[in-house]
Amino acid sequence: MVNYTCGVASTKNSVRRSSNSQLTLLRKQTERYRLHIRFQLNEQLKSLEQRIETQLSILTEIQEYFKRRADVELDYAKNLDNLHKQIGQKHRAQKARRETWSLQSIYKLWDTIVQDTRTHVKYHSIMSDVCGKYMYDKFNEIADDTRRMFTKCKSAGLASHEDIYKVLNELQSTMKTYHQYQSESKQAEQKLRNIQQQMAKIKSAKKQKTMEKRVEKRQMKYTETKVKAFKARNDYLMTIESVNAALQKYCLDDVPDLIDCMNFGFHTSIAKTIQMYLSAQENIKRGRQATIETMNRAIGDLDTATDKQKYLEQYSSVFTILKRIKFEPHKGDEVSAVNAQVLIRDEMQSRFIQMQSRLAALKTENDEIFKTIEATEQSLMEYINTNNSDVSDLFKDLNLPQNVSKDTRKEIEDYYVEKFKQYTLSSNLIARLQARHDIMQKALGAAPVATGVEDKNLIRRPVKPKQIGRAPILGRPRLFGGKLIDYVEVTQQHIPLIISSCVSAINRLGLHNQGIFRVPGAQVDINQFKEAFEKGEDPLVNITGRDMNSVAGVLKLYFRELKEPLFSRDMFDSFIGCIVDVESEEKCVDNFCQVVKLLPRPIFIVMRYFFAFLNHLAEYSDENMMDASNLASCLAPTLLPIPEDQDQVQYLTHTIELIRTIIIHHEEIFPSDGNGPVYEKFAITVPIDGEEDEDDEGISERSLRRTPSDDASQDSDYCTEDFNLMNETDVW
Amino acid sequence: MALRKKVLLKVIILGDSGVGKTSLMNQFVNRKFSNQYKATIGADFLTKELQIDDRLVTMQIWDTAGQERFQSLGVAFYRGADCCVLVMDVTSPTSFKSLESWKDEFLIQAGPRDPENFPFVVLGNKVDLENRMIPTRKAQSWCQEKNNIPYYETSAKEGVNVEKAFETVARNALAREKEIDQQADFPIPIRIPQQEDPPKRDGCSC
Repeated sequence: MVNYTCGVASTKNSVRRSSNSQLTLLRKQTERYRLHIRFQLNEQLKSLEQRIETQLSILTEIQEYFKRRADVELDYAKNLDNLHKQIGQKHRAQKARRETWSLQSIYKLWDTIVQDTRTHVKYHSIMSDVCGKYMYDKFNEIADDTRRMFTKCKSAGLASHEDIYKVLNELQSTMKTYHQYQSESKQAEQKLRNIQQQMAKIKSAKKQKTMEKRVEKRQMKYTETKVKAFKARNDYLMTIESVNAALQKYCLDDVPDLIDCMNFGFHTSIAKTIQMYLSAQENIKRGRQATIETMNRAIGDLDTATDKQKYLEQYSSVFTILKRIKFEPHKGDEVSAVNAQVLIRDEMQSRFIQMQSRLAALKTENDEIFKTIEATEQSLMEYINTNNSDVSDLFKDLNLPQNVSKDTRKEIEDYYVEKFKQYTLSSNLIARLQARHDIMQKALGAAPVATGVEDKNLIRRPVKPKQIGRAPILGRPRLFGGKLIDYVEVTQQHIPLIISSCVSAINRLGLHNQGIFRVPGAQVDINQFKEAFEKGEDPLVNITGRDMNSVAGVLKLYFRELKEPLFSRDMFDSFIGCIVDVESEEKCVDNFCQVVKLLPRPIFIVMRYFFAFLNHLAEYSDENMMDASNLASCLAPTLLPIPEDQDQVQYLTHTIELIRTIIIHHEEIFPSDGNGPVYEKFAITVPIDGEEDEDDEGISERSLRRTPSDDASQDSDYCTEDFNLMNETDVW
Repeated sequence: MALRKKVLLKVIILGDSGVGKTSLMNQFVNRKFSNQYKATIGADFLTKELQIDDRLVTMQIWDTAGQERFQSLGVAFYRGADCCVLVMDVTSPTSFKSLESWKDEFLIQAGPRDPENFPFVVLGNKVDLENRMIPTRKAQSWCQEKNNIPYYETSAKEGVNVEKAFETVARNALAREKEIDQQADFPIPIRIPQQEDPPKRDGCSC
């Protein structure tokens, strides 16, 4: 019994022992597992910290770059500044020697280039500030923010770790409970089995009865522990589930979230900081663009003719026309003119005829030489002009195409100068012979002089006067502030688009506009129109009647900004001479008719067009209040400005009076000789089937738009149609 | 103090073309309005005598051309002005917008001593017309912003407010005159160096 009991006890012990050892094993396992988790979580935090550190060190690297970049920019700015200062100092030191520099247009170019460096000094020192101060501070800020953010996030992470540890602890305790209860239930079962076996051995009913009670007791105990064990198992399983869920959640969601949280705003603020740099770059780009524009303008202002003029004026004493040599008569000789006395008349006559023919031959030869010069000039200019100035290829890692050999240039050059020498010599000879010829002619009293003089007056100055060294116009000529003649020559628009477009707009919508050309328009609109016209566009296509003052304003601005005003400054004396001290208007018109003949053809055409329009405008003066004198008051200072060296007040009324006279007598002054476009009152530009393209030039002339298929009847249809249209819209 | 010699006031009228500068001047000086539409050439001036309190004042009113191209002429006329009248046309928003640039232009060209307090008067002309575009409130608030410039709505045609406006012009110019005079009462004395010490060396040392 004891044995048995012992045996039972031993089994009991062994069971307990075995369950105990299992439990410790388990406990060890879970402990290891917990440690493992703890380790991993800590590792996670550590690697996150490392990640941030890596980010920050890259950031520092970027910061370092900008810091050094700032130094470079500052150096650059300083160098530029030094360059500018040194050049300025040198210039000031040598001021006396360089006094005449301002006569040269390249001096202005040089000055522009030097002055331009100052803008870049400014831009690059600002850039340096941006990189070295603002961005540097910003990067520091970002680093601080990131560190702080990390610390905060780390504590948040630790909190969730704590949570996980807590759950794990719970798991351990439930596991412990489970195992304990499980083993208790096992023991109870064992005991029950034992008692049941014992009971089976016992035969006596009395003993059996007592046994039964014990069995019952054991049974109860067993059931009780079993229930407990079940519960504990359930708890355990549930806790496992929840721990797994927690761990999974932590790894899948929380950790990435944590990373997001740590890095929140990091990239954005870096991007923002770099944007500062970009914006600075953008501004520098704008500065460079401005440089390009100013340089372009400076190049455009290079002008051989003005340079020459200024230079000659400055050194007038050196270049003055030499004094005429006078006839020193022999004592007693009183005749000081070439005399065709009978004695020598015949001889002189034959000499004269000879000379005439020689002269004619020489003139033809001279013209030929000039043509050759022109051709050579062109090829030489082609050579100079094609020298590749586009260096884009270098930026694409290509080499610039090699220039043609220098020898070619020298060859052309030699030929050109040779021809030039011939030309000057021969034209000088012509002048000499001409002088002899003229004086002989006078002496002989030959008559053919009269026709010659008249011819001279009748012949209109050629479009291109003989001129050595005409510089080609580089690129598209400027509209505002450019030369009208150049513009017409290059674009082949006889009436520049801006004039024809504004005139046609006012013709359509502005004839009744009170104070047209007097009342100023809106500056914003005027600038907008100006920009569009400068680009070669026509902004007035869909114009309404409201903007007429601005349309007139942009046209006035155009005339005002022309490099050479419509009535050129060179000819101011001739213009003003037509009106000063002239009694009658008729005489003034006559005078001006003579001057008009000296105008270059393109200017003549534009004047004819514009004054016909002004006259038309004045016809409506009962409505627009702008009669010829009002128009003249408003436009004279624009069309016929008084040169600065002349008396402004004295001539002002004369210029106005002259413009008024031209407006009134435009038909007489500008005869329509069938050449070039003329203004027509009732020509309304209506785009026909969208055929208004660039060739059209936008001129409101039917004569220009007429296609060969247009016959006369169609033409007159237009005319009546337009006329009716005018009649309907106007009340007159 | 009652009898001062200098009572000639130079007044400049500025504003866009066609707002009625010449008409305002004519209405004030000659009490006439002409419907003639004539652009002013360069500049022109008229004078008028005026009794302000106990003082007789001669106003010299300079009418200028509003044309852009004539502006270069303006410089000479702006100098020495005592008051500047800025005129706009209440039917033309552009002329209202231009006031600012006229004012700036005047201050740059005339270069008065105390530009902050230089007397300006703004006139909104042509109130007799029906198609008014600039409300009184808008004009007034602009004037208030600019150091409280007095603002009058006038009609040169009907002679509304013209007299009153020019009287204000005269008063403001006069007030400034006094201030400047007072400043001028105590000018900084110019010290004439007295040649007491004789030159150190007598005669020539060569």
